[in-house]
Amino acid sequence: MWQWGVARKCSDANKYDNVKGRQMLTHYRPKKHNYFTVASTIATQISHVVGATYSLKMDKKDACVVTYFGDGGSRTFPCCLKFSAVLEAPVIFICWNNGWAISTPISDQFPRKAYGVRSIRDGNDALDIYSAIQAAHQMAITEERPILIEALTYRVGHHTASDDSTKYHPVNEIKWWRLTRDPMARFRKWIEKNGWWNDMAES
Amino acid sequence: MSTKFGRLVPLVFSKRGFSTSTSVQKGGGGSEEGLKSLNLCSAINQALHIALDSDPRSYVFGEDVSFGGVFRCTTGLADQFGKKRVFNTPLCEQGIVGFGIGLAAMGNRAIAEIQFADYIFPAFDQIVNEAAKFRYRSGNQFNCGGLTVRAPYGAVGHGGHYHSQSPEAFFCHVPGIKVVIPRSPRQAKGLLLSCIRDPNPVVFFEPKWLYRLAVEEVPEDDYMLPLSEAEVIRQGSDVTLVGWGAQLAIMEQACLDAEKEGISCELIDLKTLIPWDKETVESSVNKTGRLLVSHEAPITGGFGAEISASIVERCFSRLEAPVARICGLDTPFPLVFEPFYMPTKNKILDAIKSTVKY
Repeated sequence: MWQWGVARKCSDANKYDNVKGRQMLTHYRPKKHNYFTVASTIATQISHVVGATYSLKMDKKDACVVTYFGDGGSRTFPCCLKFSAVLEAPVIFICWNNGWAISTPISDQFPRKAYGVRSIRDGNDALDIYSAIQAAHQMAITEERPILIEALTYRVGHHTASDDSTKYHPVNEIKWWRLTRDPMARFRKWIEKNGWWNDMAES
Repeated sequence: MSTKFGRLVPLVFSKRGFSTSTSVQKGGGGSEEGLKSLNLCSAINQALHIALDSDPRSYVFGEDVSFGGVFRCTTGLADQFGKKRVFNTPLCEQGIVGFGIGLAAMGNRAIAEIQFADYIFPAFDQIVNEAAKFRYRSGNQFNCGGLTVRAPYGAVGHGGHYHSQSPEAFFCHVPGIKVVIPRSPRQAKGLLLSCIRDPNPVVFFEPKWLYRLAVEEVPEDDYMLPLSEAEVIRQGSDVTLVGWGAQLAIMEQACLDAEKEGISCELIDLKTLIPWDKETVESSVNKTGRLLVSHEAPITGGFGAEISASIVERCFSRLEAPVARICGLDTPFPLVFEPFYMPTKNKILDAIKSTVKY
């Protein structure tokens, strides 16, 4: 939601575009939000973040850097984990494991459990993710070490506008995740239960 | 990563000379006082000391750099500037360059070392798709201009496939980076400092054959030599020779032999391959009417082709003979056949004669 809000201020490929119309759509990110410009190359940003975090550490800033990547992008992760651990860089790695890299399911990417990690969170639970990142932020800075969060979720939409995921993706599976695990629906239930939201505000 | 046996290859001395003559020196450190006789690796070391000393936001990192590096270019740096600024990384080239990009993107000078140019390819994606395009793709909101990647480069007599390569042409087809190759200690120090302080990512290749063989007087103070400026190191009127790195020494010997046969050769050190100094080469060829380019890298797709095509475009009506390219052969770099692979003095001399007699 924040992403689309920002989009209204720096729309793609027009005169307001702060990357001057040079990249494909959705590759914008304004500098004032401390968000490095996105690139199509997969997982290259993970090692950038280790270097950026090392800089913050040397400047003695009370801050860390967060990097996001999908399960398919974790192929360069072992190298970057080594760098961040050896150099004691306070970086938070967030892997959105949505089960698919375009048409490649997770079972075709990793041996079962061999890459298992102990920091698995429910990616469709906003509160779980919030508390995990809050704790990770504190740990990373005070202990000067990398933290990994693997957020389990499911890609209900197509990979991109160029993809028809029903060709390799069970439709029933998509429906199930959409109906029973949707993060927006779950969060709405929680805020409604606290009396902070209602149907009238929703409309 | 591949296993890299024999990385600590002992250098075998030979009678091969080196190119340090300078007939037209531009900003080469000013006065002749404060000079010290240095070899190439010591000159590099001095440049790194000056860079780290003059900018507290500069860092040197890579495989084995902490104890001084496998060619001793980083000797004494960790002791003087600390292990937080001069440090070893895990053995992973894509990680080294990616880390350097992130460090530079935060406003630091990131001086990354790739232990041999032959092993820069695991970092090719980071250099080509990331470093080179970082500024452009962000509309100049972000940049990694503070990144310099330095690597030992070129033949060494017995390096075989993976300790002899000259990969400069791969990088010359990449808008957004600079490619710089020095020929001597004095040149190396001044050019490396310019690379480190340039606001663009630079790949700096160090001719490792010259690390200990090339010795000359080098100013001890801080000085910078301009990038993208070629240098005429030998005046001539019959034919123009263009080269870079250690190959210039071979070319210089060929020029001397050609002179004994009445041929006057002009020799140009290109120094920066991207962006290269077309004007200097053009004015020389307009004078001589002939061009010969030589490089150790294989001939097909080598940077000599770019020079040749550009000069033909610019000097077509002046050329008296086809442009000659005397380069490495189109094979992987061989071990025992190195003497036949290399563009030797005799190959160059033969080409000079046939060009002039065309």
